[in-house]
Amino acid sequence: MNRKLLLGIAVLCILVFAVASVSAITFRTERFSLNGTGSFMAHPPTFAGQFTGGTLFPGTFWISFDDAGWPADDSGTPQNERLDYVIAHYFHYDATVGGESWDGYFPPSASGEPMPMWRFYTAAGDTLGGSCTQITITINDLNANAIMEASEYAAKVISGNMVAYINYGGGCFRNFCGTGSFSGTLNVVNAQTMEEELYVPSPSLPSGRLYMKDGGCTVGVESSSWGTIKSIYR
Amino acid sequence: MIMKGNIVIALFLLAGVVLSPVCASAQLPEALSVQFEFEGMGNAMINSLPVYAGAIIAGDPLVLGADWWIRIDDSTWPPASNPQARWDYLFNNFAVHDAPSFSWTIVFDEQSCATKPVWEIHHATNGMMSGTLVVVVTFTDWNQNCILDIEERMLAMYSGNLIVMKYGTGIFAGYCGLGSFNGSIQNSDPANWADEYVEGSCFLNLQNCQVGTRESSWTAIKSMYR
Repeated sequence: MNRKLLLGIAVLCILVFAVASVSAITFRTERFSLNGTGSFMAHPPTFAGQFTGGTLFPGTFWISFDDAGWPADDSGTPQNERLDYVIAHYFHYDATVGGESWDGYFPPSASGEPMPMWRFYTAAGDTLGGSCTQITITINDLNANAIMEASEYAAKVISGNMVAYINYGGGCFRNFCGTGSFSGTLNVVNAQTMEEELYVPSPSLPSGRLYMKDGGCTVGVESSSWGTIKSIYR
Repeated sequence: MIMKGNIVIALFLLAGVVLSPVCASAQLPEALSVQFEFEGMGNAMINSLPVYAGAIIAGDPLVLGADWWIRIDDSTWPPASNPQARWDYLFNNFAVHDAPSFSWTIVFDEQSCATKPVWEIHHATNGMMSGTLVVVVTFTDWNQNCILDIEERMLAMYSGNLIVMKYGTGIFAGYCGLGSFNGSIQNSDPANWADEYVEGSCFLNLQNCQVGTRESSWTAIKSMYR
């Protein structure tokens, strides 16, 4: 009888501690919109700018691509060797009738190449950072001729999925990790320098998302703790 | 008197000819940006074809209240009657594990599927637009054990880009362009193949593709990349 009582108390204690540890996790949903500039001609190609809205406003950001192996543009030739390489290495053509376009994946699927990195810095001193598991850039072949004209390259769309690492979290995000996504446009604003504007809409309806939590961010977390949480973000 | 009447009719017709292009262009601006938020449900494991569908719940009045759907070609997948085999096939053939970021990423496009995924937005009064899209889904390995645990399938991020084909109707007739979207997928019970809730944001950059001379003017521009 005593053994059963002790066993019951032990199970109860485990349950109480388990529930306590789950409820101790803080979940935060952050929304953001961005506006910045950058260029694939730069080394490394980095797009940086400001938050224009959302829960992290005001603040700054950067997203940087890994350009290992990218050639420099040879100013002595008419073509842009660097951009030619980017198009050839990352993009593929989709000939679907009516939807002709190029899709570029950074990094290419299953390539094992380094992912783009990102950092957010709020004016309040909080920081977030991590990598983009994939950034997708799409260019419309408006005249369906399978040739990428400068005007077609100039107006693109971009989207990506993000992972936030605890070791880049600072300020109020010091113990947080998470995941997120963003989408917007990437348009050439200076054809001479190939500077481009990254725009993630919008100040009034921020579309970027980060789902952050301050538990289970290190190796060894009990995966079962997630199982007890139901529809946490509804 | 009859002569004056003819002149009035002629002037009326002339005014009609002059004003009609003005009215047409007023109805169809050269460029149009549309941003909105959406939500919906879907289940790729137990439904064939996988369709995620819902409503546009905020944003531009042009599409507010519209229905949307996306459809993924599953002709190469195991049948929906065996969701476990279907999941295993998808995970083993579509999911790419990235150890440094502790994540798996799945791309649905014309290379991983038999045909590219397609989408449609239908507004009861403003019309319809449609096209193709790429969908990229990322699961996170929260406990960093290189195993996608059932609990880790409860939340995934997605993003993607879409093409707006020039086959729209109503207000959207003649428009084509590009768009991008992102959001989250939430599954309260992946072990039992529960329906998935999706929510997200979308931004469309539309332009008037009805002008016939546009195509010839594009081809006249020196090509950048072959």
